[in-house]
Amino acid sequence: MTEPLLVARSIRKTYRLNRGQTLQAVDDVSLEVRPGEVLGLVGESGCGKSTLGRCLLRLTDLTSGELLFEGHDISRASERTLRPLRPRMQMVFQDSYASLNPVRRIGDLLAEPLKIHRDVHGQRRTRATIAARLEELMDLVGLPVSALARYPHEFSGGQRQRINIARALALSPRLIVADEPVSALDVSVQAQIVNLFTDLKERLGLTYVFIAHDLAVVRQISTRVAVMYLGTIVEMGETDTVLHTPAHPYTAALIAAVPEPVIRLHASRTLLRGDVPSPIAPPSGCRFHTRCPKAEARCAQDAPTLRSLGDERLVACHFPIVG
Amino acid sequence: MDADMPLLDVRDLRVTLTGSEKDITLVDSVSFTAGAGEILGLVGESGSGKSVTALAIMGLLDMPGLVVSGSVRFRGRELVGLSQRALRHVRGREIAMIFQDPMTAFTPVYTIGWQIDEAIRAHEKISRRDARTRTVKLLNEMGVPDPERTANRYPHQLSGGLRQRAMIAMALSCNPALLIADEPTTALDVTVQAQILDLLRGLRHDYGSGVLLITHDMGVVAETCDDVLVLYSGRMAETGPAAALFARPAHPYTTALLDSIPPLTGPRPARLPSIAGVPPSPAARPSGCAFAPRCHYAHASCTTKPPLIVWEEQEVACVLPTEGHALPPRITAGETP
Repeated sequence: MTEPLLVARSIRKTYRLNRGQTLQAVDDVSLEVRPGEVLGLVGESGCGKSTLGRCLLRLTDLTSGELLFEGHDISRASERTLRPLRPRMQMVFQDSYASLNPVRRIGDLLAEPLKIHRDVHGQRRTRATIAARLEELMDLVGLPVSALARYPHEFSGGQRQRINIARALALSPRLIVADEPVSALDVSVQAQIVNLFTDLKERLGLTYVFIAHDLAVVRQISTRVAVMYLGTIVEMGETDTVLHTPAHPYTAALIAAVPEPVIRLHASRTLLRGDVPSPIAPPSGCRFHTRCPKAEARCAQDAPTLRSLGDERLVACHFPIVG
Repeated sequence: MDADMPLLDVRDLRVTLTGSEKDITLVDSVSFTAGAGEILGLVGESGSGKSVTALAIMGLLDMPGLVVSGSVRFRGRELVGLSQRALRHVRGREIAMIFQDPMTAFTPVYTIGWQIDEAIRAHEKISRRDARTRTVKLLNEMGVPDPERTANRYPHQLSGGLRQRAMIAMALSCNPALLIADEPTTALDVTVQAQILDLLRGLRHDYGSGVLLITHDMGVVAETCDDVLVLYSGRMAETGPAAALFARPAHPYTTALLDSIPPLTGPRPARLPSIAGVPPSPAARPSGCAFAPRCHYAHASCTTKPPLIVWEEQEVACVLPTEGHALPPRITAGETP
């Protein structure tokens, strides 16, 4: 098996709040990102998927745990040590407008990383090299070269997301963490951007961690899926295995709750009660037990750990759904 | 009231923005009816005019430069041109509205209960105590746990789902005949969205209210609505019973919109069928069919604005059915006929 691109072992991210309270945004998460795969991170708001995404790129410091990128331990690496690795790991954010400086032209925005970082030979890039690379990037993301001379507000949301993708691609990264990159877009435009992610992955041999709350979008793009609930991974495995035969009651409930654009004759389904509990005071034992239809006494006491169910799938549940 | 008269009858509704060199038509000849106990879905992408249509019905577009014309008859009474004073008696009491973001719809400085009490007392002469009794009863019916205590809490102390339940309780406080819900679940998580949609579906039985549900999500429409109106660039693309429209969409835009949603079951397509380009802005709407520049089937006759024609159970603004090239039925995975 090929060596994983990124390995996370028992990573934790705790935020200190007022009055001595703490928020465990990411609680003991271990995962691997293999080269060429798309790992989808799904979950509802507050489940820690965005924080985990930022931890994986060390955009935020870890509270504890170990993080390896291309074999280098970056769990506690300084910004200076990280800098030469940065070109190979990039991020795309949800809000395409907030991510682009409104007073700068697209060409300047995209040239910046090329000016800051040296090329593979350790040389500064010449003006001509940068100009050529910018044209190449525009071609990759399907925008006209004339876009380089324009400002962010002149573009639609979908086009701005293309620009953000182009910027992430500028330094030829291996790994891209995309945090809800299509959720602010209209559905017709969303499909274009999802297709663009798929095409770029194939053309450039990229690896993605794709964070989204929309299960259908995650299913479309991901090879593997990790489902998060209140800071922990509750289920992880091949996309089709997890989404067709979910083993964790939360995964099953999440799938059942997605409104599908087909008229169902029998519209009865089990709904989860209540909202996601506050991550400041998460429930004891299994964090899902307060909403779980299968919960038993044990679930309120022991927190289940991720264990294998065979079929390369891990689930954190005392009473997984089988068969 | 005449039994045949629809609850809401919108005819040829037009909203025009004047003042710049050229008038811009935001909503262009939209017509539909909504009945008591029915849920009508108004669906479209951003800029399709769905929210403007709702605000026009509510008479909330009272500002210089915006001209609302056409007819909005509510229980037979014309609302277009009615004074704000007269509209105030209709709004809140007979037609209520809920919004996407319950955090901004509630004022942060009063408790939820205080605000619902106030809404009741604005329309009915009842005591504070009776108003509170009704508030607590409503919150309870909306599935709010511990309603007495929740009524004394401030909006920021509640979760998104509970705030939305509280807002629906406030909207229903005067037993409105029509509830307009503008993207009521868009800001909510999917498991909470399912609960709120369930609640909306229950309203027609429990309260007999008609619901006008505005959404961009075809999935929400399929699971909730009896009838659908698809808007594109401020115009009607297609309308009809949800069952017919989802089984056999007649407008290429409806089909394309449904196709661009990634499926949750069945085989995964290598690429999603997507619609090239973006919807036109109302100021730059093409003179013929507004969808023609993005349509696979665009041809010579699409340069003139297509009339709304009756086809099967739907009404559709497309020339294909009359030209004998109606679109094929939709194939969906996982559905048994």
